[in-house]
Amino acid sequence: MKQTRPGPQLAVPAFLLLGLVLAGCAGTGPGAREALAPFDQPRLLESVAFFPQTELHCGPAALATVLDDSGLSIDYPALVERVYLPGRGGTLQVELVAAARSLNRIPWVLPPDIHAVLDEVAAGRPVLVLENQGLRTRPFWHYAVVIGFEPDRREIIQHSGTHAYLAQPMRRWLRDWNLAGRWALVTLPPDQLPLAPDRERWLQTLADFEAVAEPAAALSAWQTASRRWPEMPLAWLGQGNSHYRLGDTTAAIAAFEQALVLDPEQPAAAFNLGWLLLEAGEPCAAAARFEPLIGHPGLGQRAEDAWTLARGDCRD
Amino acid sequence: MNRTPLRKTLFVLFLSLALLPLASAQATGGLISSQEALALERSGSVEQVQAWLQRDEVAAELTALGVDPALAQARVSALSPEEVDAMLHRIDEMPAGAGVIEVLGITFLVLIILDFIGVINIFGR
Repeated sequence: MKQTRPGPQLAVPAFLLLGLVLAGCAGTGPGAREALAPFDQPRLLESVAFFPQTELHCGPAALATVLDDSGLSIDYPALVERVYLPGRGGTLQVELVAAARSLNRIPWVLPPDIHAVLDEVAAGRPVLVLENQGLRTRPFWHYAVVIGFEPDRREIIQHSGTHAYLAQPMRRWLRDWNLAGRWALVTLPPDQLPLAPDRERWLQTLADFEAVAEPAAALSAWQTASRRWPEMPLAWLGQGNSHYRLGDTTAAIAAFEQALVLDPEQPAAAFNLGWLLLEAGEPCAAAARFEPLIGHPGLGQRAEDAWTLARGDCRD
Repeated sequence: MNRTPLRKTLFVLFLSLALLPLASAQATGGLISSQEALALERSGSVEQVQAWLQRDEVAAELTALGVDPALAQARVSALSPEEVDAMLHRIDEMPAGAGVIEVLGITFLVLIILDFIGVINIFGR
């Protein structure tokens, strides 16, 4: 950031000066024209309900907006309790993400690219964004939900704070969004994928989702992932884990076996299959699954303990 | 042998209890969670996934910031291991989106401009 301290003799209008400084801060993202270039039609998601923020609750309001659109019925006061942080007078990004998870919606942070945001909106999904309406050094954080854009007028349309369908010049909005690290979030029902999921990051997203969401939601998410990437062993491991939590041992065993077909060395699938075999009263088969895992750098003791147990019951 | 199934059940129960601190937050029993499997694949260790003490620390932090203790636990349990780690080390730097009423925002902006061009000095640089 290049910035010279203006001397008192410098007769530059304050707004021009501010514009220069902000442009300097904003980095080198695409400009308003470039951002809207791929679109020749205006788009407005009229059906996205508006939750006006109360007090400092733009976080809960924005989250309610995207969650409602993903098919949840919203308990707004509960959502405030869930994400508002009194000591900070606001809401943290990670808590928006976590809250979505605990309500069985997959939180997907978009790549930091304006086209990723507009593509999702064009596809019908509202996008929650973080804005910095202040300066880089004196930030003023705000959450809003992008619900449309007007290429001809170079405008972006949001539900923001207490304003529904707020149209703003794209240029100014890009400045605020760039200054907030280009952070954007969609919340997806478990059986949906975002437009352009990066496989590895989606895998981590679902693993984190599985740890929090209800098993049925996690199962649906893993099944959707398996349809997209049938070759991915961990998507089958995830299905197995979810089936198990739902009490369906047979389906869980089949899923772990499928993971091992795709990758015979998959240690977690082998261990989990062994564990289910042990529970199903087949200690010898279980011991055979555990044995190769003994000495595994990440699983060593756990595998050895399980093997000892299975071995003790095996009469062969 | 009538005793065998009972003994086995007891053993599984015992082992489950013994391994409890190692198990994932969700009731996956003795299974390896997908989070742990991914951590194994990527870093060769499940340590970060199982960092329970860190979660307690973050919950304490949330409580100190005015969240009801029971709610703080629930909020922390929905975080991923990476998010717990980030909260633990950078919570003070994290943006807290508040979105004040527009008039306030504009006033603030004007103050910043005036402060910046040296007309006033309210931010004490």
